[in-house]
Amino acid sequence: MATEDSKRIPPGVCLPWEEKVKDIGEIRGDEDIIKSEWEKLEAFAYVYIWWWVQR
Amino acid sequence: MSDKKKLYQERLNRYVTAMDVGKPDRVPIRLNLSEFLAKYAGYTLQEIYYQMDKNIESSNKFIQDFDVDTVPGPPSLWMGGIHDATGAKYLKFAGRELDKDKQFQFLESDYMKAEDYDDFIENPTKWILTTLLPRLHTEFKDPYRAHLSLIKGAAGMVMNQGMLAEAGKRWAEEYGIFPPFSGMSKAPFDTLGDVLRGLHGIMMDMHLCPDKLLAALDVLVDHNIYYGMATAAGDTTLPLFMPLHRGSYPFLNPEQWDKFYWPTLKKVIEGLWKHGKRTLFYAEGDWTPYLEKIAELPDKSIVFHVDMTDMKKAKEILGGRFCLSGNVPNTLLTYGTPEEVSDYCKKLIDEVACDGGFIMDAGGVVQWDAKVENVRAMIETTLEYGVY
Repeated sequence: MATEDSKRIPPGVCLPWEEKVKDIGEIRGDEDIIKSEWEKLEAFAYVYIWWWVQR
Repeated sequence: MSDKKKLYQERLNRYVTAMDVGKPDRVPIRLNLSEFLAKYAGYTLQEIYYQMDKNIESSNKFIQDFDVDTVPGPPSLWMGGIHDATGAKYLKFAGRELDKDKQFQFLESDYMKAEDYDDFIENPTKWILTTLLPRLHTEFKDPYRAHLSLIKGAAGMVMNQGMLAEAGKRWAEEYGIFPPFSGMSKAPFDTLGDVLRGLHGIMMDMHLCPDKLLAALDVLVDHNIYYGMATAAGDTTLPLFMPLHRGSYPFLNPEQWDKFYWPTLKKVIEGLWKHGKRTLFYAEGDWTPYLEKIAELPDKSIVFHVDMTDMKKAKEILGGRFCLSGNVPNTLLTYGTPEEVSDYCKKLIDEVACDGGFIMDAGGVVQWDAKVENVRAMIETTLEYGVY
């Protein structure tokens, strides 16, 4: 019964890379390096947000 | 291999063998001690709620003095300072609103309103950050303080995690001891019913908006699997801690349990098991009427922890397929005598642990009020009488 949006944003993600990359514009180096670091901090932010609820 | 490394490995093998429903050299002892550790070490509750070094330090004395296979890390789950930095208003702490040796208190309320369901279902992470936290955290009253509170809260979490990681390493190296679980998660119904809607709110939702409640529970399944694996940092040797609340009989009637509680809890446990992660099904209260349903889970995917569930029936229905643990009554640890505690442990060893697949523990988390001599009796009886 999950809606399209809740399916689109999976657990561990707060602001998807696909949205962020639009702000960055052209990436002249290796996108995977930037994406990987973005996602690590996303995962931390996600756990921090949910920590206030999962107790 | 050093003596402590050898001891660590022996204890871990004993624990894992029991969780795999095998028969180790003796019954493993896992003691889920919380505020008891502070009292034993001579700290006030204010000190362990607020000062993380004392919180961590309070485990050391117990670990030095008693031969147990595993105890959780520090007694306090909460960092009072982070709750002050954010103004989180759902906990009262010793030394702040409460006397310095009073157990923390949770102020239950419907922090999520019934009209929030659609937004929650649409994007729960966004809803928590943009709607729940501003309601829950008084520091969100203006943008400057709100931004500060997010910085301080996140920084506090990182600092605490770093201290816990260091402590875990030291406990392994110096005392040969490991934590009983890694990571935590919840039943989706408890995620909603504990902090968000509260008991009153979720009870009404089952009657007034059952479809929205079911949709929200369904959305939570993947989040709760992810949260469990993330907080375990991917570890699959130790079980995940899952304290189970509203599914205890008779909060819900069996029809409600079948419809609202069990389906999504089962999905979370099965999802974790697909990652190789076993769940410590910490069944607080009485779960006797639901044992047949729980038996539907994949073999060994849980350790079924017995608080007030009928242990004889648990053994009959779940034994041989799932490890069982617990059942030494907390009331006995507080009001009983060492002889009574010892007799109870012997009975558990004779009747439940006899075939293996059993871990000695109290029924619930051991609080400030347990008597030291009774905890000692529990450990010494298991060490002497629990040898296979």
